[in-house]
Amino acid sequence: MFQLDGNPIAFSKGDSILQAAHKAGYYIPHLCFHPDFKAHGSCRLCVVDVKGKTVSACTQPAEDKLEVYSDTAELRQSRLRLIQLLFAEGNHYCPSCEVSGNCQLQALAYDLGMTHYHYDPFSPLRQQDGSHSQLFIDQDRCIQCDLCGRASQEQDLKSVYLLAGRGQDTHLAFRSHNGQLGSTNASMDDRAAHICPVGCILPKAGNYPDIAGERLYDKIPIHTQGNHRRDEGGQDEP
Amino acid sequence: MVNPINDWLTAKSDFPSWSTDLAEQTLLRHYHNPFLPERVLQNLVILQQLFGHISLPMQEWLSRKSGVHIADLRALISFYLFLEEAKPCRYHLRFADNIIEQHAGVNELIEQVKEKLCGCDCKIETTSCIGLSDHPVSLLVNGFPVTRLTADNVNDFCQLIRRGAPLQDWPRSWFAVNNLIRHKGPLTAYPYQAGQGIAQAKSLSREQIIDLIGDAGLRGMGGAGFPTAFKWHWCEQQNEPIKYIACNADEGEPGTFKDRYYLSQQTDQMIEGMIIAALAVGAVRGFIYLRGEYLYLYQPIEKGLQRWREQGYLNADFDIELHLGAGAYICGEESAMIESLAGKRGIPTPKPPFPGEKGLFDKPTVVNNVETFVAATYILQQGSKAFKSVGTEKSPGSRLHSVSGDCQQPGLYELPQGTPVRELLALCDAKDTLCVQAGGPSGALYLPHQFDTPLDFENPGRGGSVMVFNRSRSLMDITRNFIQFFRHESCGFCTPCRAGTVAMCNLLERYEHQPTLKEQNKSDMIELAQLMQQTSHCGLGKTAGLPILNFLNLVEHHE
Ligand SMILES: Cc1cc2nc3c(=O)[nH]c(=O)nc-3n(C[C@H](O)[C@H](O)[C@H](O)COP(=O)(O)O)c2cc1C
Ligand code: SF4
Ligand code: SF4
Ligand code: SF4
Repeated sequence: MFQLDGNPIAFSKGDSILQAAHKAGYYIPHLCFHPDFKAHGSCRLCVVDVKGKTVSACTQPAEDKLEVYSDTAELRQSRLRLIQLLFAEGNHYCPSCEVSGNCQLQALAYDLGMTHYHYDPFSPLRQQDGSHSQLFIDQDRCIQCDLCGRASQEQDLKSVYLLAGRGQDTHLAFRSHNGQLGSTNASMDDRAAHICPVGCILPKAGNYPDIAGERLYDKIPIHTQGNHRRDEGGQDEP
Repeated sequence: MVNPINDWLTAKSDFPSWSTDLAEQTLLRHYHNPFLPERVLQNLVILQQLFGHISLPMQEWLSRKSGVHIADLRALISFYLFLEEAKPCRYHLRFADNIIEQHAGVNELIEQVKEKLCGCDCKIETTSCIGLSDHPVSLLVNGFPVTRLTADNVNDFCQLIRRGAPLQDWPRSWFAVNNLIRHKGPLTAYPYQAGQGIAQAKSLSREQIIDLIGDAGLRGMGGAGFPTAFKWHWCEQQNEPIKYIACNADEGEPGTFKDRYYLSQQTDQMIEGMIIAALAVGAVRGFIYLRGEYLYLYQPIEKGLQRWREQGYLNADFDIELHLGAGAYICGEESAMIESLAGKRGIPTPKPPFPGEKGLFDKPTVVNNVETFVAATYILQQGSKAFKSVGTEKSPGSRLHSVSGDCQQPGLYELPQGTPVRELLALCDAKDTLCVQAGGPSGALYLPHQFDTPLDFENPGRGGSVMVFNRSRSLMDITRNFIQFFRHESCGFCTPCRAGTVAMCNLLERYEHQPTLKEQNKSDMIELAQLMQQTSHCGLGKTAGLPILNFLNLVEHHE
């Protein structure tokens, strides 16, 4: 047992703080974590205070009697700024975006009370990829969480997606000779095609199915229903 | 590793055309088994140096040979600055643009060089500090350092290029690196006897070796000052037959060049220290991670390793492999270095697990700085008492400082731990000092009223470098240079550093140019620096905001 904001949380050996909290039904904001895959630790949204230090809950092993603080004013503010940095570094035009209302980045922005960018937009030039017959890649929205890479490697056993470059030039890449998604064996049926927390990996057909007001995060905020995608169905929690 | 003399290690300006035979021969001369997947990064480094670039056919060939996907090779090339796909020019100039070189006039020199070399087959770029800030202005030409370029000799320099003089025929004086120690101390001047430390270690149990290091109070010289005995003990305790020793010779912190000295003048002490560490923890293999900027030291170090092999100290039980980096400061961070040694992009991995438990190839690994290994050899040879006879109680011993900037005598100074900043400034003959930066951009800024601060592990700025700035310098220029350095060197893994370093540069520019919004920009910068400190994944992001905090602190101090 450890304490998360005063609530007792049970855990099994090897669990991270975030895994244990997730299983116990407590929400710690996150983007790059997914219970089905290895932790990454890159988005830093899941930062929590432990023993006077701030650590990422997805990589920090749970320990008995640990006192973990997540829902503090300071951490909420830090998370808001991290979200604002993610918005500023990409090109996010929510109103016209295919996943608007179903997007985890946007849902967390709402949740954390984001009203403006705060940082000057970097307006990067990023390569798009429409070479695949069924999937489209819009890197303007990529947050470099590597969930697609992990899903492709760990579940699909295909290793289609990877991150390349360095620093602000970090970008999504595809394991094919010419570097295009269309030349890989990626398919619509892959788990990786249905894992992106934002609108970077998109189906070419069937977008904008729901009217505003009926979308995943329109009614139930992300801290209540958790990180989900429309195509896996939201999970209503109390 | 059969023959240390290899074509790819010589300075040249004519690159052979691509030949699979030449490539294969070169790699085979280097490793018995060159096409293991974990060797791809080293292979790319060698191909780059040999052919001047890594073209598509080379990538295809290496991919076929190693079984590593070509997209992964491209991911490596796009991460490491010194790996390039584009066809090489005859001369590739990379000027160091650390603040020391900027103060020495690198920007003006670059303008002149660009003008004089207009139309020549050359490429002119800047790069982070190349470990020669005691020889400003310095640059790399096709990977080899040209030192002390000034307004007086820039004409001659450009003449060489205009004439198309082959790089290997340039007068040696252009490449002169002076490793003179201006102030000697125990580590740099004792009657070293090669192998005696090893003999001593062999007469002791593992535990006794570690106790001796612990009794000396040796702390890591790479910046963190972590107790070395503790690190070795932790690794020794791991129940695992395969363990590794890794020597961190990445020396990327701008303004730092003390390891350059040890790597070129006391190679044997470093190697002996690694062998001692291997005896202490039971390691089977060692690695030296040499920064790409120190390519010119590769051959001397490899020859040193060869000597120890011939003497039987390096053998089937424990041998050391030399690795080259390729222009990525982050690879000095120990977990990124371990990734890089395994042939991957240098992305720091989560801690825990720490390298002592799960390091290179997931095996327990001791990572220490070059100077730490040198000091370990000293302790085994001279005893722990001798080591701690100088220094302070919490920071025993002495260490080498890299001193550069506004002083009459830049260079290397070995001083007892705890020597006050003021004393060092007097020794190097610095006048009218505005401030000093200790430990590089990620270290600490000291103002005149703080010059009594002891340089030791109890105070920030522990990396072994001191950059001196006099009153003619602008703190804004210094700060801008530092935060641009971090933006350039962020590995891009985590949000606060990848995006935060860019946002910080933007905010500083706003601060500089929008006087009406100064207060707002100031509080935004402080908040961002704290955010990065609090939430970043590794030490780079955690310290990348410090120059801003120092700067604003000083501005306040002056107002
Ligand atoms: C961004 C970053 C860069 C670093 N660069 C170096 C380096 O160039 N050389 C070095 O010895 N340590 C460097 N370190 C420290 C290493 O991570 C590690 O602590 C050190 O090599 C351990 O050796 P020591 O205990 O002997 O100091 C760096 C750390 C960080 C966070
Ligand atoms: S990916 Fe999300 S945050 Fe980005 S534009 Fe689309 S809806 Fe907005
Ligand atoms: S494409 Fe989506 S899942 Fe993949 S790294 Fe980018 S944001 Fe993450
Ligand atoms: S703090 Fe910077 S260098 Fe370190 S992991 Fe994050 S992005 Fe990479």
